[in-house]
Amino acid sequence: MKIDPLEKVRLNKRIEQAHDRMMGDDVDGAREMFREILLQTPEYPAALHGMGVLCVGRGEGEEAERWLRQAIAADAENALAWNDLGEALRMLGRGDEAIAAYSHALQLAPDFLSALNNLAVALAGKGELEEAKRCLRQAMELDPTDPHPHNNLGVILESEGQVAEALLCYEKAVKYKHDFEEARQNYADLLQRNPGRLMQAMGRLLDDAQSLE
Amino acid sequence: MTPLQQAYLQKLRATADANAAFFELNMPQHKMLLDEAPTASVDISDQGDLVIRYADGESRRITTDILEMEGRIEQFADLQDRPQILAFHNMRKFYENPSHGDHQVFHYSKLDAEYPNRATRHFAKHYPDNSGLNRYPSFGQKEIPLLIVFGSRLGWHLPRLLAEYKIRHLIVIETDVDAFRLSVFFQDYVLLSRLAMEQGTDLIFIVQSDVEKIARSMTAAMLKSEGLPQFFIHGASMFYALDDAEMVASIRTTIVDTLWELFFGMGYFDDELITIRHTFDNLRQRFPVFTRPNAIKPDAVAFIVGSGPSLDGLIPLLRQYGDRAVIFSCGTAISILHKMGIKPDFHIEKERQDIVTDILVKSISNDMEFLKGINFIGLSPVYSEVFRMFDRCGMIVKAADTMGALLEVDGMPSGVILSGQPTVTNTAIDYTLCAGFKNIYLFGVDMGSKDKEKHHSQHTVYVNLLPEEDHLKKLLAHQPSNDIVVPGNFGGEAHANKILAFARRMMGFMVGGYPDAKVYNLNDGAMIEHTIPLLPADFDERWAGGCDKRATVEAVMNTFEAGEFDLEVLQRILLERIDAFIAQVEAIVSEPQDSLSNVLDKMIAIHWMTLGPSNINDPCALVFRGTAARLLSMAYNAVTIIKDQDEALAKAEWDFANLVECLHEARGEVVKNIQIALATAEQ
Repeated sequence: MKIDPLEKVRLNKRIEQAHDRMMGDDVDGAREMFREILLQTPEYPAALHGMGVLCVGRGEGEEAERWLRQAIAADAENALAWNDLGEALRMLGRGDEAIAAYSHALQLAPDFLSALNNLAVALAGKGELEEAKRCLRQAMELDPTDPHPHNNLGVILESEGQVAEALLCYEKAVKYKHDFEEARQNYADLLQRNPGRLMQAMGRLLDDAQSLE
Repeated sequence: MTPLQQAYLQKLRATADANAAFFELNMPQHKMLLDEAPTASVDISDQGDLVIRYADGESRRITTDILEMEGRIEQFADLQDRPQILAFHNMRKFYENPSHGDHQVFHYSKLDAEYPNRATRHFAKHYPDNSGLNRYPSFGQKEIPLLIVFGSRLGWHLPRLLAEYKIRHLIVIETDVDAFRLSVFFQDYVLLSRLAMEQGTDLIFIVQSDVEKIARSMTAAMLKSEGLPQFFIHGASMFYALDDAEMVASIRTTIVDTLWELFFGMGYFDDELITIRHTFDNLRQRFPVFTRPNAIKPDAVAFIVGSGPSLDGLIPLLRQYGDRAVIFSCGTAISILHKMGIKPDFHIEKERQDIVTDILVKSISNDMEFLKGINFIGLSPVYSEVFRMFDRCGMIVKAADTMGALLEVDGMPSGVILSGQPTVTNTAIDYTLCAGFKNIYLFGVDMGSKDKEKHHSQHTVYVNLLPEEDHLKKLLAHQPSNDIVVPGNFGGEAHANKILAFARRMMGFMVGGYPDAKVYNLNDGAMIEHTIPLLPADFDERWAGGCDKRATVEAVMNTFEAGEFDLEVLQRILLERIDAFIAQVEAIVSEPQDSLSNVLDKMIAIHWMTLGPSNINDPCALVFRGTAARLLSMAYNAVTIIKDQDEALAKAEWDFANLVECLHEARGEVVKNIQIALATAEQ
C-alpha cells in the first residue's frame, strides 16, 4: 500500500493518540479513532493493527484475529502484528497456530523480545519445556533486564521442582521491575511453600542492598 | 602620549596590518581598498577611553558601538522579528497550470507544467489554509542557511553571529568603503575567517557602493563552487548593522531582482526536449554546421539588422550602403526589410518553436519569392522546416544547450559552439565576430529605447495587429515592461526591460572579447559596452568603402560544412549520462533525513549536480537544470514554512519522489523524441 508520506505522518500521529487513549483505559475513544482512520484510509495497516491490539486487550479473540489478519494482509512484514496475532490465537486456545505466528514474527525480527517470551509461554503450554526455556534464555541474553523472561523461566523451573533456581529467577524479575505484581506473588508463594529458603533469600536481598550502598 | 595610549594605538595598527596581509592573500580586491587610510580617526584618553571621530565632525564612543551591536544581536535572536528576504513564489498562493498554456502547442511534452502542478496540488491538499504553517521560512532557532549582514561597522557583531548560529553562508555587505577601512583596525578578520572555517561557514565580503554591483557580487557568490542554490535567497536572514534604511531597502530589492536573472537562462526540460529533437533532426538532415571560425577577410563588412525602433530612421543608410556589405537580418527584422524592399543576404533565427515557420511567412506577407536568394543561418535547436525554407543554410551549434554540450563531448571544438543569447541580434553578433568580421554595423539593435513604450520598429509584427485567433499575437502580447534605466548610446538614458538589459550586457561582453573588431552602434538606444557609438550623420565619414558583397557571402557560407555525426553514438552518450544522473539523484534522495538540515543538504547536493563547476556544461546538467531547480525551490519553500518537523520531512520525501519520477518520465520523453527525429528519415 503506497501512502503519501505526509498523509502517513498525520495518520501515525492519530494512531499514537489512539494508542494513548487505549493505554489510558479509554478503549471506546481509541476504537472510535481507529475506525475514523480506517474510514479515511481503509486498509491502513497501523489502524488495522491497532484495532487488533485493542481487541486482544479486551479479550475479544475472534475479532482480534480478524483485524490482525487484515493488518498482516496489508503489511506482511509487520512483526508486531504477527506477534499480536499469536496472542489472539493463544487466547482462542489455538496453541499451534499461535506458535507459528510468534515464529513468523521472530523470522521477521529475530531480536523481538516479546515474541520470544510469548513463544516460550505458548511452548510451555504445550509441554515443550526445554524449547520454552531455550527461548527465554535467548530473550535474557538479548536484554538481561527484561523481567518477563525471568518470571516465566521461574514458573517453568518451579514446575520442574527446581525451587532454588526458580526463586533466583523471580528475584531478578522483581529486581528489574519492582512493581511486577505477578512475579512478586510467584516469589512470595514459592517462599511460603519453602520457608527453609527464606534466610538464604533474605541474605541475597541484604547483599543486594549493600551493593547498592 | 602615555604608554597606554601608545601601546593601544600600536595594537590597533598591528590588527590593521595583519588584516591587510590577510586580505592581500585571500581577497586582493579588498586589500586594494585598504591602501587608503580611513577618514575617521581614533582618540584614546589616558585612561583608555576610545572615541572615533568621523570626518563629518560626529564622534562615537566605541563602547557605545559595542553595546548597540549587542542589543541588535539580542533582537536578532527573536525568530518572529528576524528580518528575512522573501522572494520567488509563495506556496500559499497556489495556482495550477494545466500545461504551458498558450505555449503548450510549441512543446513536445508538459513535464514542466505537470510536476510543479503535482507539487502545488499536494501542498494545497495538505495545507488548505495557513494552519500548520509558519508565516515566513523557518530553519529552527539556530540554523541559518544564508545570513546577509548589512554593514561591517567595527566588526564586533560578526564573530558573535558566527559563534551563536549555525550559518552556512555569511555575506557581509558594506556600502561605505571608509567604514570598512575603519573596521580593519578593530576587527581581527584573520581570526574571524578561522572561526568561520571552524563553524563550516562560507564567509564572503562585498565592499561596494554601487547597489547593482552588490547584487551581481551576491549572484556570483551564490553561484560559486559550494554556494547555495539561488532559491535559498528566499528566507535569507538579514542583520542590520547599518542605519541607512533606504540603502538597505534598495539593496534588498536589487538582490531579488538580480536573482531573477539566475533563473533566466536556466532553461527547463520541455524546452530542452525541443532542442534535442530538433538538433537530432537537423543533424540527420546534414545541414552544414559552423566549423570554420576566423575565416572572413579583414575588410569584410557586416550590417546586422535588428527590429529596434532606431531601424526606421536607418533604412536610408541601409539602402545606400547595403550593396557593399553583407546584410544579416535578425528574426522579425525580416518583415521590415521585406516592407522596405531590401533583401538581406542572410536571415538568422534562434527560436526553436515550430511556429517560427508561420512567423516568417506572415512576416513577409506570404511572399515566398522574397526568400529566394536569401541564405539562412539558424541555431541548432531551430525547427528543420525553417532551414528548408531557404535555398542555402548553415547551422550554428548552440552553447549552454543540451545538444551543444553533447556535441562538445563528442569532440566538437568549443570555439565554434556559440552562446548567441538571449536575443537573435546576440546570435548575429556572436557569429559575425567568431567568423572573423572586423567591421560590424548595428542597425535597429537598440537594446533599449528613449521612449518607454517604443521597444520595436513600427513595422514589426510585434506592433502590427495580427488576427485575433493567432497564437503568435497572444505570445507576443506578453512583452516584458520597460523598467530598467541604462545609459543611452548617444548620451542620456534609455529604457530597457530585463531581457534587453541582459542582452545588452552579453553583447558588450562578447564584443569585448574581440578587441580588433570594430562594432559601430548607430542606434539611439542603449549604450553597448565596447561598441563605438556612431551617429547616422557621421556614417559617411567612417565608411571605408565596404567589401565585395558576393565574395563575402560565399566566404560566410564557407564557414559552414556538412558534418559527419554518428547519431546512434550521440543518443547512447546522452542516455548513459541521463541514467547516471538519475541514479545519482536517487542515491542522494535515499540518504536518511532526520532534520531539515539534512533536507537542505540534499537540495544543495542535487542542485550542484546541475550547476557545479565540473558539470555546468554537462548535457545532463543542462537538460535537467531548470526543472530540478524549480521543483527543488518549490520543495524548499514548502518545507521551510511547515511548522511540524515530521511533516516537513515527509513533505520533503514526497517532493524528492516527485522529482525522481519527473526525471524518469523525462528520460522516456527523450527516448521517444529522439526516435521520432530519427524515424523521420525512414518515411
